[in-house]
Amino acid sequence: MKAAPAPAAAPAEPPVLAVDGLAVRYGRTEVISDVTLSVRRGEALALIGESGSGKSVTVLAVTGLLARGGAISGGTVTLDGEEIGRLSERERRRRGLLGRRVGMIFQNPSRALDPVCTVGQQLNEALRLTGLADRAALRARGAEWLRHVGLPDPGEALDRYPHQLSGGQRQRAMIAIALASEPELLIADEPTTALDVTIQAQVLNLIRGMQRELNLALILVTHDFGVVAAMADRVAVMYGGQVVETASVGEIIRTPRHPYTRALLRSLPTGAPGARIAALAGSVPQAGAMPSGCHFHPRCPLAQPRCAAVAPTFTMASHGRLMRCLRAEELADDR
Amino acid sequence: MIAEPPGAGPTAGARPLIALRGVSVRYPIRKGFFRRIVGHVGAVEGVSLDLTRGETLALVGESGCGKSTLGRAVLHLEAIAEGEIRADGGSSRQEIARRAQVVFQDPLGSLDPRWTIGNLIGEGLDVHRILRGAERDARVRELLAQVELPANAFHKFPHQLSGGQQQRVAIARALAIRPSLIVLDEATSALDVSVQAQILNLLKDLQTGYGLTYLFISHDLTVVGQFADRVAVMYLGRIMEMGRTGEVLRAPRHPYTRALLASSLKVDPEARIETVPLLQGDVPSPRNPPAGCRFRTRCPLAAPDCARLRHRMTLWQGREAAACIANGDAPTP
Repeated sequence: MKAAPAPAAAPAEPPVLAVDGLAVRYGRTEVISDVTLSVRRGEALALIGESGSGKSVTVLAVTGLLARGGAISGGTVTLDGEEIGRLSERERRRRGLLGRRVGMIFQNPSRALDPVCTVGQQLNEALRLTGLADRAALRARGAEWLRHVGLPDPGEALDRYPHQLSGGQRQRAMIAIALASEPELLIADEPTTALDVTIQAQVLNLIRGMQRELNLALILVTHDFGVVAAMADRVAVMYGGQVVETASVGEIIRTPRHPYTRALLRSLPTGAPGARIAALAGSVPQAGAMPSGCHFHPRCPLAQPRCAAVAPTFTMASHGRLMRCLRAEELADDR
Repeated sequence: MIAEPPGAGPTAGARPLIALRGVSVRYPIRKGFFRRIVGHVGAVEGVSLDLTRGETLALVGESGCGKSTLGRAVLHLEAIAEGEIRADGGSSRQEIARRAQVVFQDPLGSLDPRWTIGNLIGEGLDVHRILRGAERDARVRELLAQVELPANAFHKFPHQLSGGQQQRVAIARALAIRPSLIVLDEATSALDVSVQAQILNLLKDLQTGYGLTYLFISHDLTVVGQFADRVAVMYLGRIMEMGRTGEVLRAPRHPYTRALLASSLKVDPEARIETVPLLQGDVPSPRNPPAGCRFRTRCPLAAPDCARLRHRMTLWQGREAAACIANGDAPTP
């Protein structure tokens, strides 16, 4: 493996992906509103939130895979300087946005892989997007990718069907397929949630190694702070369809500023025997019944009457943290 | 029969609530047109442990290690091929059913969508003919309050509740017939962290209030560290290490426990994935487990003698660990 490049590129370099004020509606229901984030080449951005926070809808909107009835209703999605948020599926395919320039790894490889095609056939589909056509060359390149992601007997594995591989091996095969088209942006949506811890460590290590080696921009969607701590350079915390705080991984975990980020970190089990956990009361609101004002105010320990009336904006506080809170200026201290 | 393990519980010497001795659960492998039995898969092999009143014993391990099967065996939902399970007071099917209840990972999957919450919680009271009519309804409302659900949930259906509330219903259902043991099979694994914390706190309060014993099946070592008094680490159907949670997680004895702990990610920005020592390969198929020590095919300390090692538990500083060549145990006793 080559020497790892610096985690974040020079600030002058424009981001590979920039999402600004993105809103998505399913019918009349706005499921995400005002999502802002960006990721640079060689950088890993973790998108963390509880279920219903809108993290999966955000990546579906970026990749143009929103289900029927879902549509972007505001904001922009920019890939390498081109606005791609409102392109038709045909136009997306023409510009290589489906599969080639943006690679995806899903939680469940047995649903993302086609059960009636061999791993080799599915790899070839991705390899052809790069202009490779010769059969022998496709096979050689496919086997090379499978060796690269650590599948045993890559030549043999090309002719295997997904069900003939173990869970961890399927996840490796899916990573090979996602990378074979040489994307610039890799999106991994809960890539290891279904895996055992020993296999999770293997797969995350592989994703990180590949990202470093190919200098990819990586968006990692997860609900697990352990995965965030192990993988991310920067973190965007989502709640109720909005990004509420963005900072480097060290800042988010050591000095969280937003009341939600603080509460979420405090509700993690510490592993201290018998200790009570400081549980955050209530649950994430449904998309159709989002509270007025700040979406977090009904559960927020610092809520004031104005929080129910005024919607906070996502801005840089004077202490240098990008966050969405009316009391941001009072949250300068570390915990 | 196997001797009582010394120092097995927090109150060693007291009569255990449930005692397992050399318990094995095997599933038949069937082949061909007539589905003839051609062999057996040992899902659980020779497990001995005691569940002491009021304690939480965690079963941890990777998928396929037999932790859920062992939980089902304790509930008499699984036939036992070898060994015995003794409950304090009797070991009949009905005795265990009254004494032990279960909460699963997916609450919606274990709650009938056409039943109201009131009927779901009251079902056990009806089946065991414990209470009827107004008395039963009063008891159900009391249970709703105990699991901190609003009283108006009584007439609702499962889909009208959030995931955390559904899990509270499953807990109330388990509590209804006043069991002494609740098997919690990944009961908080599917929940969001904030909701998981609420449910873990609730379970702790109920345990203190009713002197409940928990068999806590989980794959999350951090949750186990916080919640359980003792932990049993399983691999391919066998217990590899068992002892007080704090001691096992702080200073693991068996190489498998060490590997499992090292692979668990920590919420620490210094603990980058590049620094995590990797365990190679997958868990072998239980149809054809490695001879000798079952962990030897993935063990970083494996030696040729490991193939001749007979599985047995050794006692070390008040805890049990599977015999291991790297720990200086002889291949044959």
